[in-house]
Amino acid sequence: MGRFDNPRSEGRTRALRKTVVFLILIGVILILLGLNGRDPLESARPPAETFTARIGRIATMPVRGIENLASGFRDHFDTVEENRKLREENARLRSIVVEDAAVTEQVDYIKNLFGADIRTGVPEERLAARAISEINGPFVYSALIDAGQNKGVTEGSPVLTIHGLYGRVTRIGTGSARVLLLKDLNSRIAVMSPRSRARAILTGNNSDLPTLEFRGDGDWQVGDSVVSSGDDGVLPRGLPIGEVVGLEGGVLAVRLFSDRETVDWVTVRPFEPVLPPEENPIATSADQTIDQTGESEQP
Amino acid sequence: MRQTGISPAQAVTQAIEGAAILFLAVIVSNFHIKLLENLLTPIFLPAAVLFLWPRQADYNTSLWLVFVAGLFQDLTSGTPAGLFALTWLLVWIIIHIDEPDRSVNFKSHWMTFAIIMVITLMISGVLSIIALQAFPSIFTLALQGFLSWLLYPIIHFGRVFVLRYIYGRYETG
Repeated sequence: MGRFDNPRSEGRTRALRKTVVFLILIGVILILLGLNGRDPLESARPPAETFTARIGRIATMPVRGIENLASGFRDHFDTVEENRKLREENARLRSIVVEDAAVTEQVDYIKNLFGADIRTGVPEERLAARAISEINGPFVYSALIDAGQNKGVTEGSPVLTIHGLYGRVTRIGTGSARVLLLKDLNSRIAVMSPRSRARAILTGNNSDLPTLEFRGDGDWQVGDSVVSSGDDGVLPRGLPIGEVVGLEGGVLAVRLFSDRETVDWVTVRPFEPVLPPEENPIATSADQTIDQTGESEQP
Repeated sequence: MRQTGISPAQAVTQAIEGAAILFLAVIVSNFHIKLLENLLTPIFLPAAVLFLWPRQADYNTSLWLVFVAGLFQDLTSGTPAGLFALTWLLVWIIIHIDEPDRSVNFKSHWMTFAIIMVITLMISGVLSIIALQAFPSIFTLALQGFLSWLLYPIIHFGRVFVLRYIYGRYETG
């Protein structure tokens, strides 16, 4: 500590040492208090994030403008190739539309026949937001979006890019929300393969390829598409997530659809998670009856 | 060091001046940059500001401000509480154990900053193992460190510009 205030008195040096030790202690205590998913600064985060989001909305404008300009130039030179690809894709999609109409007709018929309520649970409401800041590791994989309570974003809501699931909202501020990306170490999503209906948990590992854990005997193959299963009640069923890729040692990972291009705009789908049942549903129901009649039954 | 000719109030002002740039760097470090189809976030950029901390700033005030700026980065980046607060505090203390030689040229500064970056990565890596109870990706850590090192000239020359044209001071390093 020889840089400032030289020559220092012995008393001042002692005071500085005390400050250093005190601040290091606070830092260590904060880290220890934050273990096991707790967050000692939880209440302070939303206002700080809203503040950063406000600045970011303005500050990132020129950067995004330059990026879009560069991307525009690249697109211009790739137009012929892009046009060919689009024609091919268009032809493929036309056949899918025809198939889709046929399947919808069949499903409607079965629905009417059995009176079944067949829904995927994917919310229809979509809130557009901009991903202002994306932290890509090494400690966290999260993003800050410029929509919060002001736009009706709710905690736990899935956030999607045009390609697929990006993450879910873990914290909401007035005008911003923190999105935990699927790659983050703390991310766990119940997923399934639409081909085999096999279930697994998509586990983030702070890398670009989250892995499929707890597969059991499920029939998973490289190339399978992965969608949310909705089994956890946290996310709706059927959100597109990615494609299975094989890693060394028989580990299966998922290449995320949301990684296909730089994330700028996202959509938030406000979703009400399935709540656990009440501890004593009969008692609750009886209480409601009492409330409605205004009388209580005497034993 | 607070040299002769500078009052305690001026020394505190210089610490606040350093902290203002540090807070700015913390905010900038939250925004991603698209580089060769990869999204990178210069989360270690504030280390450059710590390296170029005003020479005559008050030590005690500087310690507190660096710690608070680190906490602010923890809040805005979503990292575990205390991770950056402790990292920046330790890095700042290590940098200022001895007076860095500011008479050398820019290239030498940049190379010295590379060493500071390695120290930063080591400290933050160790702290993250404790805070996250998992090993961070060494590749991502190195990549983010490299990006922050690449951006050092912006902080360096930006600071020279501000000092020279706004404050009228000729502190090149």
